[in-house]
Amino acid sequence: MLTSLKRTIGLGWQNMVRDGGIAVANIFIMMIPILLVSSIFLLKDISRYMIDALQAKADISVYFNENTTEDDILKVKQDITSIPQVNEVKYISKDQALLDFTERHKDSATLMESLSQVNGNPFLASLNIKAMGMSDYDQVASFLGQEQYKAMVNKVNYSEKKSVIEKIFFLTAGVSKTGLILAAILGFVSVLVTFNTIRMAILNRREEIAIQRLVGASHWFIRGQFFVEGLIFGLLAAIFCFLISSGISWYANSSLEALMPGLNLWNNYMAGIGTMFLLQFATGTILGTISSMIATTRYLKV
Amino acid sequence: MLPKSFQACQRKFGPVRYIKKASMIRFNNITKVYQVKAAGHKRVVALDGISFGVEKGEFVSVVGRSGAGKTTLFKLLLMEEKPTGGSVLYKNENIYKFKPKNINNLRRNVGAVFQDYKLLPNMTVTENIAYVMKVIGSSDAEIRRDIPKILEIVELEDRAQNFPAELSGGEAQRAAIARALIHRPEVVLADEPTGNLDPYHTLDILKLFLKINEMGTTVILASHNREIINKLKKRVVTLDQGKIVRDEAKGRFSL
Ligand SMILES: Nc1ncnc2c1ncn2[C@@H]1O[C@H](COP(=O)(O)OP(=O)(O)OP(=O)(O)O)[C@@H](O)[C@H]1O
Ligand SMILES: [Mg+2]
Repeated sequence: MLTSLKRTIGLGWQNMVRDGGIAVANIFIMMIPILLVSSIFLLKDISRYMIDALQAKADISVYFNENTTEDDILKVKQDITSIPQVNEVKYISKDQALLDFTERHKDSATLMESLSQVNGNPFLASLNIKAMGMSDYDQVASFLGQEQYKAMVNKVNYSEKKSVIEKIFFLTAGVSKTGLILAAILGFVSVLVTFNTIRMAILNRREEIAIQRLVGASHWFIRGQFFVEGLIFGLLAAIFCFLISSGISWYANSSLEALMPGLNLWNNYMAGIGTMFLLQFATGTILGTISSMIATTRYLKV
Repeated sequence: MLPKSFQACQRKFGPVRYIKKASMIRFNNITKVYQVKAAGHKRVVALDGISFGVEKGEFVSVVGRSGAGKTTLFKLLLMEEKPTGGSVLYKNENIYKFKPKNINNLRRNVGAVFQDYKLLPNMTVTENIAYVMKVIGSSDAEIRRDIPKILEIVELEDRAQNFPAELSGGEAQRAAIARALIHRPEVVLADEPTGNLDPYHTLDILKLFLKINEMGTTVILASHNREIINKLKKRVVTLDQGKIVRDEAKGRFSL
């Protein structure tokens, strides 16, 4: 049993090697859908990073009317802090706001001049709130909308980032979906091409197959060789893809990190390397097996 | 109708079960008509009511002019073609009722030297011979041990790694002979196995066939070579236009 498996693999491999040109072309075509699936996998990492980064920057600021006392504000702060979805609340007093502004714009003469023309401190005291996650901001906003705070609250500044995050989210989902559809189409194409290669191999070797039959080779002994051929195409394609995706992650790492600080593509890649390899391996195996199955069922009549 | 001698036996000893002697191979009223499509389905009668048996251990030569139907007869035995009428029995079983597994076994038990060699073009001489051994499930050790021996016997040691396209006609024929004999089949079917050999190798191969026959292998040889048939002094079945015209023990080639 084991020797017969070994022999089938050996003969399939030999057939493939002696038809080298076709094999190379076929392996390349099979690599395309595998690479697509892999890049979707990598893209997920990048987009997750971008969303995380933006989420860290998202916040809500509540500005209080002039006449609100600091004690009242601190009481609101306490109320908000008690909401479980809230991560962090920072109090910025009128004076602190003025200080921050002058610090930030001390080089701009016009701004400083217009500030000096306003008598007193034009800034409002505020609370800066960071929630746990993106979806939690709605809750914070509605909390601040309650009747009891109406008199104090001047305005709630909902940062715009939510829509940006949503955009990235949808974009990623869209790209993944398109990528998957594309991968499916290309996968189908590569099955067709492999199927055709094996079909040609079967037709080309029709005489050979007839001879193999005449010396008593069983159906599966012969069929196995073609099966192995398709499988080897898929596996070799997977191995090449693995090398390519590893290479790209390694090579693109530094330039990506400069663009998005804190994103280490290579580390992410290494963390998921097993999954990645399995993914490519599985895609290759499935593509190879399907094509040889169809081809041998159709063209290798007993 | 029972044989006379058997009827005599029955009279003497009472009821005795008559067991018909089982031939190794038996052609029963075999007819083969080819239809040539390109010629408007023209019918070619290749074999016309052939019946004969071959016993275990026999050496039979099938002779006849080119086109007499020798190769067709072999093709029917290997199930490369189906007969138009009649049946072929192998050890008393109709081979056309065989399941695929039995068909494979039949083909493994019959070592064939094809008239057109039928070597696998993508494999070297060694690989071609090894293929048959792999098919019957020989071990790697057996393959390594036996192939050099058979190559020595057919004098092809120097061509072991050549592909069939890199062989002369005679070398290819000897490779085909090596492949047919390597697994010691019960029956050897040799279709014009010396057609491309020089007189020296022809004699050698004939001696080889006689030797394996002495060791118990059934040999069926098809040939239109008068000289070698007469030298053999074995049974000769003569075909002419698809019919058996003579079947003689220690026969001679005469047409
Ligand atoms: N596949 C085929 N289709 C049509 N006719 C065929 C086919 N094969 C053989 N024949 C015809 O059947 C007849 C017998 O052919 P066969 O090959 O059995 O002859 P043979 O005795 O082996 O001849 P040779 O000594 O030349 O090898 C011939 O007339 C041949 O033309
Ligand atoms: Mg012939």
